[in-house]
Amino acid sequence: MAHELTMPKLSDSMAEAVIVRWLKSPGDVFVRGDGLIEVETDKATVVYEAESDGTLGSILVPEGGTVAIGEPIATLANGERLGSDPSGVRPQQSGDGPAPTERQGSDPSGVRPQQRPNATPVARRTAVDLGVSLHGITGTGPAGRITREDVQRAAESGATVQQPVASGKGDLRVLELTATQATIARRMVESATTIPVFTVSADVDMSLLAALRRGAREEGGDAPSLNDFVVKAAALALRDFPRFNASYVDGKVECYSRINVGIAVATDDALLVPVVLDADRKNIEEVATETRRLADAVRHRAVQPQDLRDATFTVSNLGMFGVRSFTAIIDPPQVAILTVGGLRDDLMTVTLTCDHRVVYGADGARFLSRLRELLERPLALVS
Amino acid sequence: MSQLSDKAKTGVLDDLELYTRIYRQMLLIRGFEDLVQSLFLKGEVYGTTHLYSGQEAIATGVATLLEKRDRVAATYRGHGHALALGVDPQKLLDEMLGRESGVNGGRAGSMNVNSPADRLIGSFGIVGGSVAAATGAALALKRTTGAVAVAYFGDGAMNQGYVFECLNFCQVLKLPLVFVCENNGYGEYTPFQSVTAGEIRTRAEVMGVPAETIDGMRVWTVRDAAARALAHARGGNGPAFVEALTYRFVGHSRSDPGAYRPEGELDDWKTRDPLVLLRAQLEAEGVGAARLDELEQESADELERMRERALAAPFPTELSTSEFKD
Repeated sequence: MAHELTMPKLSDSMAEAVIVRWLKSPGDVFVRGDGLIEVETDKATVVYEAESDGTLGSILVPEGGTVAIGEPIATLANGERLGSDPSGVRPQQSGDGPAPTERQGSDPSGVRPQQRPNATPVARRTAVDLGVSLHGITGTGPAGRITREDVQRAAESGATVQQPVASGKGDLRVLELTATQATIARRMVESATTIPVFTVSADVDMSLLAALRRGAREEGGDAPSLNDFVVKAAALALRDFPRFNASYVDGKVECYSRINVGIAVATDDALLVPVVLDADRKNIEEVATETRRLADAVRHRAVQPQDLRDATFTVSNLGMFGVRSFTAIIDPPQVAILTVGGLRDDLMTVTLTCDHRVVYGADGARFLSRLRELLERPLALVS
Repeated sequence: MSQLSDKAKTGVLDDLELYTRIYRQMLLIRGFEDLVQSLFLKGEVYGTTHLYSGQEAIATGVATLLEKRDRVAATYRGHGHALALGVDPQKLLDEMLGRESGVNGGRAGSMNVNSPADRLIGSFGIVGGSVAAATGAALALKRTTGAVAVAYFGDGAMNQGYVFECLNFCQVLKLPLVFVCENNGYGEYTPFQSVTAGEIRTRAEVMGVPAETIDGMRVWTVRDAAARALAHARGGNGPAFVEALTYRFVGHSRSDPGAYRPEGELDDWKTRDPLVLLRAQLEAEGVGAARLDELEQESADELERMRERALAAPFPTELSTSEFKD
């Protein structure tokens, strides 16, 4: 057995991979077939199993590190050739011998038009996260591949901020993202790239609720908005369907005891989601009072951090714009987001976008069915 | 498969010397696949590769009954098929590593190996492609030498339209083709039951092709079934069909950790490892454990020497192989 462990090739097209987790610690004895590391390749996250028995020496690449195939990732404490320099974080010798040159020899890569920058998957993701363009970055990886470090360097130096160039699309005006917009961008990418979603929609007959509100307004009161009823109804439905009031964490579903409903509120340049805490335990008046306070706070830029925390579910309403229905992106780590369209002859369309790792189509349908029941027969909402 | 009793009974193996050689052959295939896997992890293998580990009894069992004039079309999980037919293991390994000394000059890689001198007309990367090629071979053989063609394919191929066209064509023209369906339970990542209506065997039976489903983990069972199928085809009666139930001990390709398989399924099948079953049977019928240990050591040593030679072998230079000139 060799005196060091090198990054294995775990997929057909892998050039490098990220060490997600070390499954053994320095000094641990392992036998052939034991899982040593969890590796994220360009295809999947896989466990690399020991090819022979051994003892782990020191770990050279910590969790989160990106390593090319054949590079050392740990030393082994029992190698016959332990005498050779164990400190070597040197470029690989045998693993990278004739292989790349041979590959170039049989591959006309020199004449391939450069459409897509040659970058690792991690580098691509990092570029999106950091808002950096891959074009113009010089790669230092194998065959000039752009690595995550290259992207991070480029982001720090700001070297890739390209000069606005006049093109067929006219002059460019570059808009920097505000901190809030950058956060939204990052979280939306996280959501869209990590959560497998599906959506279900239903039409709800709002005639009873609409009549109720008309009555309240005629009496001169500040009637709760339709959205307040939706928030309250959603909160009650969440009690019946706890998997929607949850998060997907490391292959498990964590369900929360409190039902805190976030309400998407558009601002001039962004979107904030203040939270009605314990919405299921507040009566409709309390929900209405709280949503008015939160909306005012957002509009006056006076919203407090604690008003934006701990949402377990989100409601987003574009009904006031005459939108019939729409889908939204889940705010991670929540499991679902409910969108609400405008009234059309007392009919209202609600759409639920769900994390398919936690809930399935029939769950979504049942949740909407319960929600519709609550809105169409609103006694439970006002009692 | 768990309902099968794997208790070794004496009198099952008709020829202990032959079955000892078969065991040695299966050891070579398993060791070869482990070696390819290990070299793949080091980035030495070019292209993807699909390992035969777990299915050794099928290729080995069938090959022992083939004549020199017969022809075989293999799948892209074809290392075992090639080795069982007698392809030089060193040349096959060199091929995986893209070396000039490979069986196809280092140009074919894992999925496209052919060696006509060893009766292997090709390994086919297209699912079911082996069936079409073997049908052509059977047509030619019927007209010339009267020998038999064998097509290996998987359960996934049974949902390819042209596989049925070939079955029909062979039966109508009474072509000497033995269909060997290696049902390892998964078409890539998909359990075969979830995409396959009815039973595989009955699909051949509706065309009047004699078909049987057998335990593909016991090499003596494979040989018995293959002998019946080959006799049928050799006798001018048209094609025969064997569905061998088996399991691959590794993922589909080297990118596949196989995480879609239910927990415990692999372990269950590993208790029916064809090498373990054969070794137990050999011992029960009187072959000494020391002799079998010796064979295992011999195989391991042979593979280690092959590994060193393959890694030292030169790569082809640009257009150095004659078939690529002009």
